[in-house]
Amino acid sequence: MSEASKTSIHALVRAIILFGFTLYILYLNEQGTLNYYIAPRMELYVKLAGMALYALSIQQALHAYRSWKHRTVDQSCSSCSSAPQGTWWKHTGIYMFFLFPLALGLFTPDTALGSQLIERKGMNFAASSNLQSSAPKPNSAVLQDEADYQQPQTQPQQPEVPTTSGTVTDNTFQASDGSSSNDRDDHASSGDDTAASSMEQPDNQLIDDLTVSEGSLTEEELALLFPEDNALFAGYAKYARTVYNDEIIEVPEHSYTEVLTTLDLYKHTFAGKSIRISGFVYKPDELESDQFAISRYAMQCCSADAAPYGVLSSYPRASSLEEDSWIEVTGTIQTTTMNETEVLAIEVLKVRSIEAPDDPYVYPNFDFGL
Amino acid sequence: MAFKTIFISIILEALPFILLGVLLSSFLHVFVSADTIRKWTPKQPWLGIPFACLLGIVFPLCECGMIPVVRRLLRQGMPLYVGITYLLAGPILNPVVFASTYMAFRAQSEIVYSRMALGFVTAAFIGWVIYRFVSGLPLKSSPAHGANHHHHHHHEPAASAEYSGGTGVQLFSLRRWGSVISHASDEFFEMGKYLLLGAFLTAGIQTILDRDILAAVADSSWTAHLFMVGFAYLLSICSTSDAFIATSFQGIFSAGPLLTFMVFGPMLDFKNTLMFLAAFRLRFVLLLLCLITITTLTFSIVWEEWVLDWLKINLAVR
Repeated sequence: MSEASKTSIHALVRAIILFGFTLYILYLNEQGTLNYYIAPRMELYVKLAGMALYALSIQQALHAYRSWKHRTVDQSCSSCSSAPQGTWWKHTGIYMFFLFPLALGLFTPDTALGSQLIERKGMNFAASSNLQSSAPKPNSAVLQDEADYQQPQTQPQQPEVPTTSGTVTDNTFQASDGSSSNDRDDHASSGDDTAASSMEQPDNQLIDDLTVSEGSLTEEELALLFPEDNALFAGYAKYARTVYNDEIIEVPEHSYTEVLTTLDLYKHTFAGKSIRISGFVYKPDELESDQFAISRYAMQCCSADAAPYGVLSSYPRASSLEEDSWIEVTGTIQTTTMNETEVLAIEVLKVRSIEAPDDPYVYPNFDFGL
Repeated sequence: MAFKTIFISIILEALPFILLGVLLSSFLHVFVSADTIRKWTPKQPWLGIPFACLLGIVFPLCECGMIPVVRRLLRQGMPLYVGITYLLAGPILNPVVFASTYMAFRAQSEIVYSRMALGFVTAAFIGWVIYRFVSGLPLKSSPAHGANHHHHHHHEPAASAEYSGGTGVQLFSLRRWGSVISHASDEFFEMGKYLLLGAFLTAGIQTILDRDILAAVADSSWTAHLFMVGFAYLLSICSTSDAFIATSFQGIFSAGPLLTFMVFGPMLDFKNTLMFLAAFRLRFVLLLLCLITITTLTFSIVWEEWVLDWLKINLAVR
């Protein structure tokens, strides 16, 4: 076979592969399954990539055609490259490797990530752990009892007490600790019963005292409960104030993780309130038979970085729920302890099965709390 | 089936970036002469290294797109140490990565700045080592280019000699753009196979590796750092999204190992080792591998020990 016809075949195969990728992206887009793999904000780039691939494939096809036409003539086209070197089976192998994802993509069903992968990825039961400098550790238990429900507001100013702590860190720590007890005095003197009662809740104990949810609070009371004194939590505090008086607190899809973070931050204050949330059922072995987790994957860019978020739910008939089925749950907010960490939990009152949503994942809402 | 979802998603996510990389590289090849690049690069290492570290701010590419571009720049006469410094610092010190890290660590800005600073220091140090101790150009001659030389000798030199004059005038030449596209697809197939292999293995690891084992590792500082190096290496995620992976480990690992993860990962991982091997000679790749691992580990442990807390307090006071 002449060099030129080899070139031509190579170019043809490449054109087909490139065009295949273009078609695959188009196909995913048509099917509406592109969002199983890629976050919406990345979709534009993927589509642009599809167009670039299309341009490359057209060029390769033209190249193939030209090389084929000139295969008997001496090759003089200067803008085109010639056939890569190497044995034919090596090239076949490489091209097969490019065809593999296409075949996999086209001939197997598109599925969103489900409970199967949560064990590998690790479920995030405490949504606000991203905001707090570290997961509560046993040796910081004293500090937590002290700060209790104000912990979210005051924690960032308190540098973690490092194991190799110097005098400087100790001083800072003392100072912010003092200011937090001042805050407490303010609350107490305001005569805010709700705040006081939730503050006196001992740690690590289920709160089933429903008096907290009775009656609605005024603006001032809310401002005291959710102070905007820290830029970091201001958005969450603001949101907490807008939903605190709602009869049922919804966890909307457009800011799923943000709302969960809000609730988890102020879990002691929200304990006893009603909540409605939807997601898929996840029942790992370590949970009790009357427990399950209602979960969603939060995706940043692509499903490789999707992280499962879940709320621990207790429900007497949990065993009747099918893993991976989509449900909407209405219940009461609680707190519970899991792996030595206090987390948000729901005592489920009502379960309704729903259709799987068009978009199985939730995404960060960068406008949240603005 | 989770395997397929992750495999395809990594490919789809990386495609735009690798395409951007090969297109930019081909553009440089066709339109920018070696002379221009030599003229623009500072001669002195004390200028060249910081220049290379900050080049990523102007050309924000992530690691998939980076290797074809750097290989091209090196072929066109950029000094090796400058190229490598850019290769290492570029995927960290760039606005896209800064934004995503900032998003992921909104609560702890000290981690964001630490990542940028550590990226700079590490890349600069490695660049300096290469400047001092490595001579010659350890580039592999790729099959495609060997063939070019073989068939029409005038072609490859033409790219620099014939075009070196007024490039601006010929920016609209259709034939020139045709050859940009043609080169781009050559490089796409050359680099793409490593991306595919990387995506394949990463998807395999993500669906097999259990995260519960991690908690045990996180106990000691040394094992935590070492583990993060290994994990970043195997996971091979793009530097624009790895900060989000890092946040998901926050409960288990402290800031130091997370920094290791976010500084080491963009510089070196499984996927880009394969791409390194396509571009550089084996011995140089091994040297780079050792250098990067030792330097990032040392620097990040030192940083955690002495700088991180100080930074945290100072940022909190403000």
